[in-house]
Amino acid sequence: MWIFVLQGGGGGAGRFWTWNPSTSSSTSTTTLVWAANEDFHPKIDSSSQSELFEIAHEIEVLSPTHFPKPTYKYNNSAVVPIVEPTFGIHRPDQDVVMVREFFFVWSFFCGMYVVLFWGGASRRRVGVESDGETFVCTSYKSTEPFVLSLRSIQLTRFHFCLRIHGVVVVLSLGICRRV
Amino acid sequence: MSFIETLRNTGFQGDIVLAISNVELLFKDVEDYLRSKENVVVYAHELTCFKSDGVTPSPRSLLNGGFDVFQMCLLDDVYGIKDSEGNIIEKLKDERIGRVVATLRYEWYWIWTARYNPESWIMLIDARDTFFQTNPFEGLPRNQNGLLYFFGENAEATRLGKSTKNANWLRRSYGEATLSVLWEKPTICSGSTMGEQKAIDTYIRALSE
Repeated sequence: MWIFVLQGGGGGAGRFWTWNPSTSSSTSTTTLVWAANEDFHPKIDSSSQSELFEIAHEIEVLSPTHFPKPTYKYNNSAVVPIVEPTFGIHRPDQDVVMVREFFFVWSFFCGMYVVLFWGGASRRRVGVESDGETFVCTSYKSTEPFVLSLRSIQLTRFHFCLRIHGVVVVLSLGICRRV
Repeated sequence: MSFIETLRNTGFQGDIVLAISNVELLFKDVEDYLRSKENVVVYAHELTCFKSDGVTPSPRSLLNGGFDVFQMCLLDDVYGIKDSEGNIIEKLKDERIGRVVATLRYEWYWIWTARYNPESWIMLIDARDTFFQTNPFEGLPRNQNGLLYFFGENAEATRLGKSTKNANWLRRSYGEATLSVLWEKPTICSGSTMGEQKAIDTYIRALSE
């Protein structure tokens, strides 16, 4: 098993590292090649017959005013949120995705990796499966401890190939194939 | 990053709003990365947290490499009073009891929701175990006067009673009798919800009450 730790500037947008087994061996210099973004296509399962959305007729929205604002405890209508973004600007006319505590610590990557690898459904959602050994690369210094720690884990039968831009890329010595 | 990258790769061009741990606790790469992305809005606000006794002040606790999700915290200096020109004239301490971050998040969501128009669609989602294959906002019905989407998990795989986590949450909060009534009900995870702004506002007020 080989693990490559790539530091600095490795992750271009929309690209991912792939392993080219034909040009290297376990004892030779490794070769990493870029694969175009077009090579990756998500797998969408359109065979499900279940209804995605059903209207819950028994639930009636009362009105926004039925529930108090979170500031109600202050019992003072002049109290308003005063926090501003640390960086970035809200665009009121846009759709928005809101995410709570978004932290990157070692366990984040470990957790993400475990979820993706051991979750068969997740693996299928990624849409790519592979045979052979697994390689992990990172172009970010902060993820290096995670990548290096994988050396202590039994990785010999990772049937998994994943593209995550610039951060953790899981590759296979075997043949990646679409599922 | 897989969260942001896969979301943007779907063609989604709206805002991504994040609450993160204190910038000081982040790896520098992470802050640089977030700053490098367009239309990402980041809030880094220090929470007032306590040790397990709920009284002794304590920084955010780390547990197994991540934050202790059960640590009780307060949202000090998030609310206040402004003058007529919008200048902050008073910052207020949180007057409610300590809440875990999973509960506090809804107040963040409420504050952020107020920054958007009633016609905007909002998705509330946990980042850690989420990535995207398609644009979640594509094809949504618009101007529905308050449409709210909840997502039921696969009831063949898990249920409120079958899931140890769900069962324990219900048992701890509402008791065994309530849990038994809900045992066979499907899990509707609050970690993923979508709706029009006006609906999300109502929903979050209800959760925060």
